[in-house]
Amino acid sequence: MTKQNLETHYRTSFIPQAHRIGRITLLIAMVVCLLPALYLSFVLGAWPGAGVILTGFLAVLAFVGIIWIVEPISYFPVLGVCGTYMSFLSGNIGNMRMPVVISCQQAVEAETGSRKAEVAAVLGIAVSVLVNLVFLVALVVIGRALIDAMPAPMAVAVKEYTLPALYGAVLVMFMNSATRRNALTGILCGLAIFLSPIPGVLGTAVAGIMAILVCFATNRRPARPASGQSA
Amino acid sequence: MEHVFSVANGPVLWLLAGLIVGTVVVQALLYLRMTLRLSNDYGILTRDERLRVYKTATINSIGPAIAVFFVAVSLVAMVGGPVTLMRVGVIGSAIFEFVAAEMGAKAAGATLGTDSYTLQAFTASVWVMTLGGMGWLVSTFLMTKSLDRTRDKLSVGNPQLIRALGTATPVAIFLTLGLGAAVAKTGLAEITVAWDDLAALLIGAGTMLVLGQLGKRWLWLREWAVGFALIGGLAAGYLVGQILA
Repeated sequence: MTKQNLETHYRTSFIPQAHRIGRITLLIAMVVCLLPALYLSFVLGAWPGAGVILTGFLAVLAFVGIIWIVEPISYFPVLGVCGTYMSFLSGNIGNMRMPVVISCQQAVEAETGSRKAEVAAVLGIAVSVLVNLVFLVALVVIGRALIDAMPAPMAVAVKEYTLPALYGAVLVMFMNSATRRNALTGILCGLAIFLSPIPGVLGTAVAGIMAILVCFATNRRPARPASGQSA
Repeated sequence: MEHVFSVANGPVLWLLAGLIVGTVVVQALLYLRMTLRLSNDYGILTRDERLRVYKTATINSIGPAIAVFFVAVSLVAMVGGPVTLMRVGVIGSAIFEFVAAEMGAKAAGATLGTDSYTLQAFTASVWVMTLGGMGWLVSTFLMTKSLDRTRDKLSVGNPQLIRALGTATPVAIFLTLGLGAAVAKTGLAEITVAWDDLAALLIGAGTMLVLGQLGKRWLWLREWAVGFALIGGLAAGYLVGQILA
């Protein structure tokens, strides 16, 4: 075989190209994403004022600012290079991309960390991105008609109770994926902040920061192997 | 409201939404092509294994997509089809986009889904959703290279910390979000509980808890768990709301 061996090729050719594709497409996406807001503001003249945008943005920043940084880091070991660029452009990481990666790797019996696992992950994520978009386009097109056809009580329920129901379900999902100690850390931090005088939206971000700090404090170094006998 | 919806569902926004979706599709196809080439050149996956991956990915995507639909439907009613498509399609956590849309409207002194939601309030929503979602693109753009470089160190050095950060932090965040959705607090002394929202929260969580256990035996349940939990939570919230009304 005249080809370079797999590892050399992967490091010197595949990965650099993956970064190139990822960064260029993300740059394009950032520009394209701004177009609707610019169109509404300056073509239709509905610019709401910098103060309004800043107020809304700061409220959101308090809510997701930490997540922007923590998410790409904590998902990277599973998603890999290509998977990270794809997942953070197309979203639905916790509820769609991560389950897809794990189940695809198991479907081909790929050992975690192997190149086979990585190939399975990239193919799986790419397919799930495409499938999800097909679904979403259909839903958005049909969605309007569906709302009109929906009985009033159902429409009310969807409108009023989706967020609390979803928060409850997602909280349990995260707790199921956490060790008991990490789940407890999260719960205590959340409760402490909620019972403090810090107001709602800001409190959420502060709870996240506090959990991060507590994690750093309690996970300084892998002090003992995972299988502690006295635990 | 009428004017807002004619713009929000107008051709220009559909076109711009198409551009964004196009970017996502092109990126996925580029990665698909280069990874297939790698796989074929070095015989990493057999044809049979590739097909299995495609099938598994498809099945696992449909379940969550239906769950996302419940939030997306509400979002379509609030901000129209194109904005929902481009926001949920890109960085699409439908929940986040919902909250961002609400924050933008609030900042403009309006409420989603009411007559106060003018074109300016709609524009404020779009700005907040756009800038809010931009953070993930920027941090991924800036961080992925160094994450890749330090991956070995991270996994060898202190993987326990990475796992703790990835699980304890979202638990804290979603706990405060959930409590915030069901309990209004103006100072420590004045706490009012919205029982219907609390019922939705608890039944959503309880359903997920039960399905999580059942999912160990019946694997197919895992994919549908979020959807079932939502249906349970919605029904509970509506029932309690009716009883209290």
